[in-house]
Amino acid sequence: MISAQFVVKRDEFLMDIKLDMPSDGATVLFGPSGSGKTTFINVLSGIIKPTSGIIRFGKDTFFDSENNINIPIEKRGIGYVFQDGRLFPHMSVEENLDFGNRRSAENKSSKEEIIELLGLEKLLKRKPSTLSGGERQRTAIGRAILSCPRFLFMDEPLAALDFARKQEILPYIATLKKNLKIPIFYVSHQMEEVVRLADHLVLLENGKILDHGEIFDVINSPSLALLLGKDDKTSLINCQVGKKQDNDGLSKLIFSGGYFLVNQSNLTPLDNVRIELRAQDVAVALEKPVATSIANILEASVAKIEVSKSTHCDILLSIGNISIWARITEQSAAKLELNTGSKVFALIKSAAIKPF
Amino acid sequence: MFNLTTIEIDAFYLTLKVAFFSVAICLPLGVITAFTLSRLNFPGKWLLDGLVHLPLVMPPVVVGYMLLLLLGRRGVLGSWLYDTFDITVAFTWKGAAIASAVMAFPLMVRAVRLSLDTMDRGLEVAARTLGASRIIVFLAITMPLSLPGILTGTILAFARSLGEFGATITFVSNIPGETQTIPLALYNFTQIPGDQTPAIRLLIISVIIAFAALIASDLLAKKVKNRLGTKSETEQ
Repeated sequence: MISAQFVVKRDEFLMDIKLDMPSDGATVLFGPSGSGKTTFINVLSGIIKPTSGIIRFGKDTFFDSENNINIPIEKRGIGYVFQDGRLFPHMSVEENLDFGNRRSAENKSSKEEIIELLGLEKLLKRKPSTLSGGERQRTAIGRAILSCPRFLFMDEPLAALDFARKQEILPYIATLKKNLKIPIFYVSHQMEEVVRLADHLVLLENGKILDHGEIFDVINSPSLALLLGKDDKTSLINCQVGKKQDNDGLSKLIFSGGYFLVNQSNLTPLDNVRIELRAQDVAVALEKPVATSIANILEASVAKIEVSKSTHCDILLSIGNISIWARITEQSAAKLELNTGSKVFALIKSAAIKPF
Repeated sequence: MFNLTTIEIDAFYLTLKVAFFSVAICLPLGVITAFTLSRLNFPGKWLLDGLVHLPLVMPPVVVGYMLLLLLGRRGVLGSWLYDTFDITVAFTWKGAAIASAVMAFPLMVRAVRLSLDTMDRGLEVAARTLGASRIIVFLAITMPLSLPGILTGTILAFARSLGEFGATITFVSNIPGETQTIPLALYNFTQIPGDQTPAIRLLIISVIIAFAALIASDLLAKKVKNRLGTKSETEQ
């Protein structure tokens, strides 16, 4: 358990945090710019000294204003990937990687592994000034990991990159998250990164926590809808890829209570994946359609009906142990006479399911 | 014309010796002072900043006189140095080096500080997140990255020492073979009516030393730039 309880006062800005975070998986700090996301992880990592408070990582106290404890950055056993990479310009890529590695006592052997994982083999002799933005960020990630941190901080590592470079790096970070068994604190204002990486989500605004918790819960919280300025509902579901492909090249994604069929061939059997399903991609029928192009027809029961201000309803459907949101118009809802507990069928096109 | 007299040869070697030791004093102290002024906050920082810059804004003769009062045989520090270590700096080449160092010090500090102030501080923080202590950060990141400033400061201090006149003549006088550097010897020759060739020879020597220093600094600066990766290398 990581417990943070602190106040940062600076000019006009006041940050007041009281939060316990689980010490496994990826915690994404999400909020508009100026909300204090970076300040938050800079306080945790020791770069910013809070005005008062207590920071504890498990048994270790990193900061305690009452007892005058402030463990310096270099003794906190952290890794930090900055938005701008911050590679040392006078060192080659390899020297940059070695800078942290040299100082860590544990598993030296992992250097080759990390270099291969991040695709840095051909860059080792180059100076940072000759690297592209994506290459620079990959080096920065490798450098942070090679220092064998107990906690990894990432401050919008993709923000300075264009769309193509983002798509290049995001899979690396997702893989790292799976392979490294250390907690990651990730600052982002991109929903794409949130749905893909977050296990826990902390929503920040004006130095205050709006909401926090497991991603599956917080993803549909009113606070997030407010932050994003839209009330789109999204369902995140953990699935396992089926053993082999069948059904004409469609892959099975198994969840507790059924499976989805998706038109993706690049999935590894038995891999754990997460899928994102937008409410507007889910339709509802009272009877099982017979002749249809829709590949996923799942028995469901209505758990909740939310009528929003606009002309549509959001319906929470229970399928086995999972819940997904469906968005239909008010007229449709009236026509189908839906009530809590109604038995329905959820209809999802296979193309609408995005596993990652 | 090109047969140098003993006085001129002595002045030549003495000038180089004084400039060398002046830079040797300035360099470490200048880097530490610049780092202190750029990176640390403490009460009385303005006082240190003012003291460092004093020789830059005061007449050199005044600085020389202050040094004489302070470090002369009967001076506050001078008498202590003499009684405890049997060291005399007034009217010796050591005093000339100290006078040059004092005059060159603000130039050194300003050059190094400028490069420390404009350096990306984020790199130092990044180094610390990688487990490097403050001393390692200073040696492995701060120092190498402020090398252009240190180099500029060294050249400026060296040049200032070569030309130092007022503080030197006041503090250590104009003794041939001991404190008579090229500027002082040149001054002497111009005071004597008649043959001007010795003065012109010293002038030519001065120009040669200055050019050699400039060329050396240029070559070094190019090397440093390459190492810092500021000049993009050929794409592979």
